Amino acid sequence: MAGKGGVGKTTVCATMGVAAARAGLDTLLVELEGHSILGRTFGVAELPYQDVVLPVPTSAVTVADNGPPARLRGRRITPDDALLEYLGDHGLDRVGGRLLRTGAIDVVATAAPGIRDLLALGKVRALEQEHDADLIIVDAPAAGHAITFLRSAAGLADSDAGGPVKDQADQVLAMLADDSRCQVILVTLAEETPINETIETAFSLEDDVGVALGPIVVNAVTPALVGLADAVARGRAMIGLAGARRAAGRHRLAREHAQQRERARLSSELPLSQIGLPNRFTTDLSGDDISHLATVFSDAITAGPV
Amino acid sequence: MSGSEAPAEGASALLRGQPVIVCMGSGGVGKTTTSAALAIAAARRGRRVAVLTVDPARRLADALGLSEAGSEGLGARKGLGNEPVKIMGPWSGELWGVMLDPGATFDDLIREHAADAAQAEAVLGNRLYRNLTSSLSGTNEYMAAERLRSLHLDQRFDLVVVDTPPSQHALDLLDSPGRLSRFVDHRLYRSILAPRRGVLRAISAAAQLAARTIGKVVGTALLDDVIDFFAAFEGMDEGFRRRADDVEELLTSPATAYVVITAARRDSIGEAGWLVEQLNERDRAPDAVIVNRMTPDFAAEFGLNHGDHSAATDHDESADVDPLAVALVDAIRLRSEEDALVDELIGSNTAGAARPSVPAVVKVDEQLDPVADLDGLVAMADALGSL
Repeated sequence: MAGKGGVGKTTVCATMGVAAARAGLDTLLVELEGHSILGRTFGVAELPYQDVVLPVPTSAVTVADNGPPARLRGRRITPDDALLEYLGDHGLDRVGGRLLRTGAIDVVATAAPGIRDLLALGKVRALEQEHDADLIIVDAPAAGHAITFLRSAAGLADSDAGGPVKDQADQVLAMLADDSRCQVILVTLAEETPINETIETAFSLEDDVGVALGPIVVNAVTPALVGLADAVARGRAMIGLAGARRAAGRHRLAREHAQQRERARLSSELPLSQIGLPNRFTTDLSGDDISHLATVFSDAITAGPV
Repeated sequence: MSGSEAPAEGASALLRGQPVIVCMGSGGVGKTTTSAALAIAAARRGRRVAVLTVDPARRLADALGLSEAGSEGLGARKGLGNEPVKIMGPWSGELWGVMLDPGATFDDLIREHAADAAQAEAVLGNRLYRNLTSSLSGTNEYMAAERLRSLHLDQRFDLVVVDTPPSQHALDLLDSPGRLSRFVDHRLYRSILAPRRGVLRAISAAAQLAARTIGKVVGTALLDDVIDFFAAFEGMDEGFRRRADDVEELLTSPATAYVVITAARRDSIGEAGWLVEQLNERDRAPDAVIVNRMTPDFAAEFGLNHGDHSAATDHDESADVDPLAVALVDAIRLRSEEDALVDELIGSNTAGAARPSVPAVVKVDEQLDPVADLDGLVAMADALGSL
């Protein structure tokens, strides 16, 4: 999963995780950044390095359709953790002194830019190789960083890096480039700047990393209200409750139209299908909200490309 | 712009005051647009403003005249990029735009601190130089801070507005000089460097082991490039450290105002809260907090009482319900949640103690159309400036 900051990428990860578990897939959610809210979405303050089981909201409908949900787990693999583990595996533990250890980490990270990211991806690759789960969903960094993040593998494979780092880079690249093993899902909002970044990111990923792109998830889409356009056109009130309703209706309709324009623009520029997730009109998504979004997501996947 | 509110002092006090305004906030909150609007508001008050922006959206750059249609952007054309470009518009003061080019800024620093042209070329020509400088954590932030300082000293401007790079960690900008100093100073680098200088030195066995480990992991060719870089850099570190101290002094002085920009969403507000706490830990309070993307306050605008709009509580679209009523209920509920979030932000911190008060909290309604051109930015500037 990758997208510009503030597009709700973490929410979408959680949503996909729930949808996958409901569909019977043993699913692992991986977050890579320090202060992501992925854990909190499931009522866990902070995801630990070792995986923990997360609750999957279900309903009578979902259980009737698919049976009880499969297991959903979450864990956090920060790039620093991954680098530390890696250096430990190569003998750094024998070096005395915290200063030298942190210094060595700094030098390695400086000499091989992107190595932290590469090793975090390497850890994910290792989990994939071990068949740790049927599906691994990675909450990747925001757009600009995502490109360098995923490109780190390609960059290091090309560079002067030798030995084990190069091997890691090659293996990660092989995983990224194999569409039977890996897909990138871009998350965006139906607004100009996020859409621009999504388009740029998509081309950059295909050109520089060779990774397969799945459908684009468009988050917080204003749900259409039946009859809204007519009601707004007919309305005449300027004051009081009726006036407020008309103003709110106009505002919402304008938002709907703006989003439709942006989604159409996205379609015309990127030949990828879109999955729209509705705006829930709340600042705090509840378990019910995630449950609803997961249902919408499952239905969209089942229905096929749009 | 209707439906935006702030206490009496508002952003206008901010715009008459300090010579440096740093705008911080996480991604996706409209930071770049707001920074530009603040700069314009100051220019309309007669100030001579430089706005330092980082990686702006193409259209914003177009609106500010910082790029040309179809341009690939930074530094590609004469006069654009790291050097200030004057922007003409409806203001009595002046507005100049600068797009941060971290690479060019670092190059200038190298040239400034090198003992001679030969040393400068040795560093600039190092195969890993560009990679090294972009992979050092906090480098972009430090370059923004360094550029900010040079603009502050530039007699052409009496206000510098800084749009900080989007960064994961709240106060990377403020911390960046210290981080750079520590990097330059790092004992391990010195230990590794010693053999190359041909100076006989006792290198600890541990340092040798560390160096060997590094070589084993990244390959010796890469390690040699790092050593070459630091060998070439030798002697410049003192100058870099002194400059970092100067920059830090500016950032921590009362001359620099901090504006936290956020959006009315749980995750953005959460990060803004953390930013405020980080500032508090450094004995600062933000001079203003700007909350973008607020749902318009229809209840207030139309003078509704609490009971008036509680009809239509059901979201079932198939029911025979007035869509306008649904739209209003959704909007009112969302606005009240957003207001509660903002109250949480400026209220007491988690330990229960009151935060240093925030002089100005400015709520800005969401714009349905993105700020498409200079007129849009000016309108936003006037709305901010009148608050």
